[in-house]
Amino acid sequence: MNNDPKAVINDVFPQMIEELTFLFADPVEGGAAPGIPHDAVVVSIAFSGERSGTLDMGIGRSLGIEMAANLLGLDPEADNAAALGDDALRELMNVTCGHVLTSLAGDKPVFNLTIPEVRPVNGAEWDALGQGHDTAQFSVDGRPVQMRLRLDA
Amino acid sequence: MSISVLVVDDSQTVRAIIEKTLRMADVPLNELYTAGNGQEALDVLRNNWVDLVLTDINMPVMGGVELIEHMNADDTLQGIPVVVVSTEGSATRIEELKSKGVRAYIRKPFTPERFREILTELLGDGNEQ
Repeated sequence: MNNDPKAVINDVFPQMIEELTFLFADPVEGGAAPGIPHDAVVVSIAFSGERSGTLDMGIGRSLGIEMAANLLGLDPEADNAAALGDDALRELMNVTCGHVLTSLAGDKPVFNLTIPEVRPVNGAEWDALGQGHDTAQFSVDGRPVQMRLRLDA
Repeated sequence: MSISVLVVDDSQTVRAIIEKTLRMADVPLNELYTAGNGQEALDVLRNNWVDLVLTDINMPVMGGVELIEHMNADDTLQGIPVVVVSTEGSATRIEELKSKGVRAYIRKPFTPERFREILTELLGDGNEQ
């Protein structure tokens, strides 16, 4: 078990995105929020159980479309590309959250996860996500991804 | 012997990955049915012959645990083997699922080899025929 959420995310997320989508995530250290993608969204999943909280991921929606294209052989220009891209982002978040919680709490506690939600974000929200001292930042094929675990008091 | 499989997951992406994985694992498929939640799965099960159910846990409308409970309460469905395919990592939850009759558990993300191993264990080498 590891009690440092950022360290856990830095460990888990690259492994999940590679195994699930065949993309590679490199942790980025530096502190300043990376520039906002033109199609930025936040994907959020909440959990409850021994501890409760939320895992948020800031990412460009086009990266989700690329994941879906890799997984499904999808034409990125297809009419349903955006919907399938969001579906891929939700699944990535679901899988990442499950593994993050196991790394943080071990395999005894039972957690209930919500269905992940995808919503557009503006620059201020993107920057706020990136400025948390516990936010993990990544470069996925040169594009920024930010992830933060918030534990309820 | 080819088998009919029902894949239950709210993610279209995951349903497609599982289908691709079953084919990569050389599982001889007769029919492959899909459902986006437990309720849709029950509708499929009541109208089609299914040899194996692969189901997620965390889904809208009706989750995997409720689906398993409905299957257990139905004489015509309770004998169908269920394998849970989920991100769940809690040993406590997995034991609870096994106590409800779940035959095996595959954690996401998974590999074709893991599917092959589990299905061979469940269905025997006969699935290679």
